Amino acid sequence: MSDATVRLVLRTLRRNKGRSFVMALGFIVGVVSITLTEATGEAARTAVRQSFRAMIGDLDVLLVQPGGDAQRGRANLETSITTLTADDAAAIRQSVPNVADVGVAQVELGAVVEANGRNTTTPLFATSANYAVIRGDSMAQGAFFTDDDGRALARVAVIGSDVARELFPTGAVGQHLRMKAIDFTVVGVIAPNGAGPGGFSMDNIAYIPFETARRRVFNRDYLNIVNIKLANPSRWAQTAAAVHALVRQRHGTTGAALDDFRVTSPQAMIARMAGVDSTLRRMLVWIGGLALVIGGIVVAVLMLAAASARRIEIAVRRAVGATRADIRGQFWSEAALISAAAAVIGAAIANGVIAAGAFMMRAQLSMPWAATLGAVLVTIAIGTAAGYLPARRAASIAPADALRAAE
Amino acid sequence: MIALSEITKHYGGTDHPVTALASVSLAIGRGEFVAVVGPSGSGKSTLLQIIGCLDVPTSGTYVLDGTTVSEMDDATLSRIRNERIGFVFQSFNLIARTTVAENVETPMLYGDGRIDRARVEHVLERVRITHRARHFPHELSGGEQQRAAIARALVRSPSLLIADEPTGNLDSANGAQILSLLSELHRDGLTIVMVTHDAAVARRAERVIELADGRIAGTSAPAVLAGASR
Repeated sequence: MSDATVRLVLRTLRRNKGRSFVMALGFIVGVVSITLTEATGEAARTAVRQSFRAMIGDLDVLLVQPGGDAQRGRANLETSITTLTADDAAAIRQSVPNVADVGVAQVELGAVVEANGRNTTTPLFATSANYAVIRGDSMAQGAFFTDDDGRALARVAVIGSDVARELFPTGAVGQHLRMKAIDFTVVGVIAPNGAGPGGFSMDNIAYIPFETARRRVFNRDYLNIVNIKLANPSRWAQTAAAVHALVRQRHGTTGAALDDFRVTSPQAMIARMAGVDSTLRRMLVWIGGLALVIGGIVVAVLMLAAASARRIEIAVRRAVGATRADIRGQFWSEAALISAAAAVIGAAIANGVIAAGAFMMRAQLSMPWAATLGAVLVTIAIGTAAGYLPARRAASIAPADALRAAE
Repeated sequence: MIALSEITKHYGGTDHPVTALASVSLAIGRGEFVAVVGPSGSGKSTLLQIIGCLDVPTSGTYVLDGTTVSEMDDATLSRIRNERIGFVFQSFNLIARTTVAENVETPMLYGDGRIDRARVEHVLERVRITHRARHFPHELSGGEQQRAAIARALVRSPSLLIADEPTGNLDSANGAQILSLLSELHRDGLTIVMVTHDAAVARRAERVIELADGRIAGTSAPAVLAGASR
């Protein structure tokens, strides 16, 4: 594509604005639609990841929870399955490779907490002392309880920032609260985590030492959560398989018998929940692709029409020295340049929409550059392909015939 | 300069061929001003297109400036048209939505691709249409359009000008202007081959070739010498 041809083609496109716009429209719609679909997909992934982070904390973990295929359909897994124990957790810590740390928790989802004549309901977690570290929580006030607190069956509690604000507006550490008819001293407040999946606040929570709960509060041995911190997060699948095999063996589950526990990876759950492979999303990408194809057809049809309508122009150009290759190049460049321009305009519009959306809705939208670049390249390829036949048609016009017909 | 020998041109398929030219032999010297006359369908335009290297004969030989053009490929013919031949048409054939100056530049695109603005200015001046350089064809009168077309034909300094009924779409005043311009160009050394069916127009030429049914029916010396009537 010579410099002179590009200038000539740009002039033609500029002086036929309506036609250029129609030629560009499908491509613009296609690139915008693909870019926006990708951008919102990425935003959904980010949002889900954030809410999971609020709920689970560090995402590079595996969770072992009671209730598996054997209990499918049964409610109240919190208290009905009693097979997952602290000994299972200890065995995992000891013999499964790639395990950096293991935390345990007993959970009661709706515990009433009273203090200063007020009360609130919160999930109560009775955990090992390493639990906050595994989650990656940081402290707003005080400190998390220690192993020594556990061994001493100390009646100490750590609360979330919502609970602290509700019950102790003037400062929580050192204050007393009452749960399950037992008094606890508040030793720390967890820094806010925000909302989890489903929109519930993850700051409405209370922690007490696992040993204390086991002997004095819940009076049970079985666990609700084993939280495994991975040394190398990328090997989560192998580690999950090893944990699964070990716990199955410890629970005496053999052969085709169903599990009474489940091992989950937050990363895998996030991918599922973000719905990046949802039907709607796939459809939007298809619509974008379809717009590109329609754009290509429009370009091909309009250029074929132009090859006929501009017979005289083509004949005159041939008369003043244009070769067939020059005419072919001119028409082909026209298709290539309009598609390139449309692709860039589409990307720019999408960028504008994303910037405006991010600003107005405070959404975490950003330009999906790789997808956009892909859409741009596909557009140029389609446009160039669409121009091929019209360019050949234009180049094949015999100047003598066209001029004779004109006189 | 131009030597046609036994030029025959058929149109259409082999089933029903139409003979436009039948064994035409003709020589035109450098600097000559030749008019080709004849009724419609006599083969005037076909002859002109073959001389202008826009079309190739079915048989026969055409030698232009010592090169046998009847054997050349598209690219070579295009270069010959670009460098040596200028075209002027009855319906002007300026490219739409393209200014006069841009129309005049067009042949330069297909030369070395370099636009020589000074040369464009010069030819616009020569045909006295500089004031219309930025205008579009539809904004011009017929006479102005034809002058712009002549500027376009001249911009590459051709040695041969092909004019197909150059005054056919013009009123007599504008037609006379265009003919004076052609006479001027001829006086400056340009070889001109012009098709016309108007005897008065043909009288401007030094030699008149009459075609009938694709054959040369007669050649006459000019009744009045070119320029004598001015």
